[in-house]
Amino acid sequence: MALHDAPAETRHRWRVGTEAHNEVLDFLIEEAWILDDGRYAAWLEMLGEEIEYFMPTRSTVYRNDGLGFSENMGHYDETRKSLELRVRRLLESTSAWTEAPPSRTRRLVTNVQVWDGDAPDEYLARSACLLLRNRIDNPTFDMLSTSRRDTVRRSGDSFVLIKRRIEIDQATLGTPNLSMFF
Amino acid sequence: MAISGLEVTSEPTLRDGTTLGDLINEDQREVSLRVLADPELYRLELERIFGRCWIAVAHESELPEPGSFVVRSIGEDSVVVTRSEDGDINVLLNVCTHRGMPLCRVGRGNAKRLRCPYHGWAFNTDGRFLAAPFEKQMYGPDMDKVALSLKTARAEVYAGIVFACWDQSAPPLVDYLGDIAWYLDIMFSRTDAGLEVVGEPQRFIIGANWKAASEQWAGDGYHAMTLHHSLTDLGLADYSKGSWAINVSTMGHNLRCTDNPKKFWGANTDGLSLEEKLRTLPPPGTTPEMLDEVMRHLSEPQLQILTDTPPSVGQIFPNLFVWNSPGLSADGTISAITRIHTMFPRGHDKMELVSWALVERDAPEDVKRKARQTSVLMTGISGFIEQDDAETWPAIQRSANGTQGQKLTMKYIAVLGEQRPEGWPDGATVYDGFSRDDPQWNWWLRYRELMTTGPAASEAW
Repeated sequence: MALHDAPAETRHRWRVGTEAHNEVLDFLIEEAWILDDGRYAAWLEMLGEEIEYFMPTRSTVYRNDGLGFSENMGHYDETRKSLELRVRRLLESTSAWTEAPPSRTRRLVTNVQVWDGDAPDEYLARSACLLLRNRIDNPTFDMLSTSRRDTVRRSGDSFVLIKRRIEIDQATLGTPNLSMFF
Repeated sequence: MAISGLEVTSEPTLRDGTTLGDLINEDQREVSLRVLADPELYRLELERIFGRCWIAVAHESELPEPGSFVVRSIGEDSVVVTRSEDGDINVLLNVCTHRGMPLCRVGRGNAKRLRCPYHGWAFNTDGRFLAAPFEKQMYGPDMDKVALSLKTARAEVYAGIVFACWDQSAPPLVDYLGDIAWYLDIMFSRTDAGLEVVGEPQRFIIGANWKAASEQWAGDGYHAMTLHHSLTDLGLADYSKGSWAINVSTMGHNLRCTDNPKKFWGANTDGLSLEEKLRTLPPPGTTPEMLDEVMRHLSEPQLQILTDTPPSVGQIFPNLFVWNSPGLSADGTISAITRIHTMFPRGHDKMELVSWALVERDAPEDVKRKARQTSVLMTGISGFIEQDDAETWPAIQRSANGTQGQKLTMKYIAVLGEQRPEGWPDGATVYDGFSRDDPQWNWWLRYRELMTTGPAASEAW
């Protein structure tokens, strides 16, 4: 399956407005607000223990050579433990200068599609996410346009995220450092 | 002769009469912030630094087979780095000799030839002109094809890193590296299969002059205690005792040798044999199975340095950062950070950082995975350490853009002076002690030396 493809057509897709679509959409909207608000401890609560969180690097290639994503090199290549460590840095250290003072971020999550997952309580989702980042008194924004492919699993009356692949639309990123989550 | 308004004399003079000697005060060991913000100086740097030095452009593992190519830069010039049919590595200006159109519009790929999308002129992967469409009708039978070859830089590989140089009068790469080459062996040339690049490098833009990063990479141990204090807060490093190292400095290059690995591993190797030391403190990124190879690849003095005070981070003048050290992975176990960054200037106030993670090619997949995850966690665009470095440089750039800020200087007044440990093996200048400004000041002296000699002058070499 090519990386940008939707999951296989044999999977059931939950149309916009159906119950599962609404529930997953609600989860993604809640997550975006939590991250925009900088409530990182609450964000960790939304992640499964086994989460794989990967944002591959990429190169510009011709159409016949695919999409140019690395299989194994990332801007982020994270486990639950490393994400916890990243959150601890932001919350516990006064010397995490990338976020001191904090960036102002806005995650615009849209074009959400939802499919059945591999297990009965899992769903696949993909979404477009535009992350706007503003630092200090700079009037302009760093814009990070991505598509995200998620696997979520039911947990209580909501979900946990157990897999996220973030495909960024830039080969050369226009922001000097990544301290924010997608 | 004038280049961008600058007279090519022994001392560059800017339009307002300021000389480089006014900006780099050798008596006071101060450098004017204006050097970070001056477009005239920048144009001259592209000629006299990037037009003459050996510049890292790729790792040889990025070019696995004939026809492999990657597109990189030297200064602001786009270059195609190719592996041609004969297996050689070539560095070609990515500009068609016909009308100036770039030949390659992608970042990497594999091609038998490079064909210009504009009029179709085609070149071999070693840069030789091959053919043009309707060649006879356009140019007749006597076309001078040799003269139409792509502009080609000298290309050489050391420790797996591909370097390129436009200056025919520059010394060979190994002489350019001088005594530092010996340490690069310790960091990067330790095993039969050697290192390989993991996937695509991280690439990102930092809104600052390239020298803001480069002078820091040239041996700034002092900033770690403050800027990188978050690592101490998280228990990932301990900077409370300051930054001690043996800095090895020559021709503007610098490497920091430290006994940090001993602290990392909590190892006391006193009285052990060389082999026992090596098994206690294996080179970061290797596995126990590779240690026989390490013994074979490195000389006894190299193994001595490797097991006592290995080179961990440093810089090859003017813009290559090298890193090989143990690193704590997120699960608390010890892994490795093996990384090289180069940066391509993109105007006087912007640079593109290209950052590769490396692993031992023969290491098992789980060792490779942990090493690349540790590299990403600690270094590069999202790394705990280098996130914060990238926060400082654009902020300093803003200071340097101010008319009053430009009148301030960066201070390199903390002098250690050469402190050479007994029996230290090479001819570089060695500073053993609390890391002061010496190697960074040497970087500026090398910069000034190259900037005050003409483009083709041999005296700087």
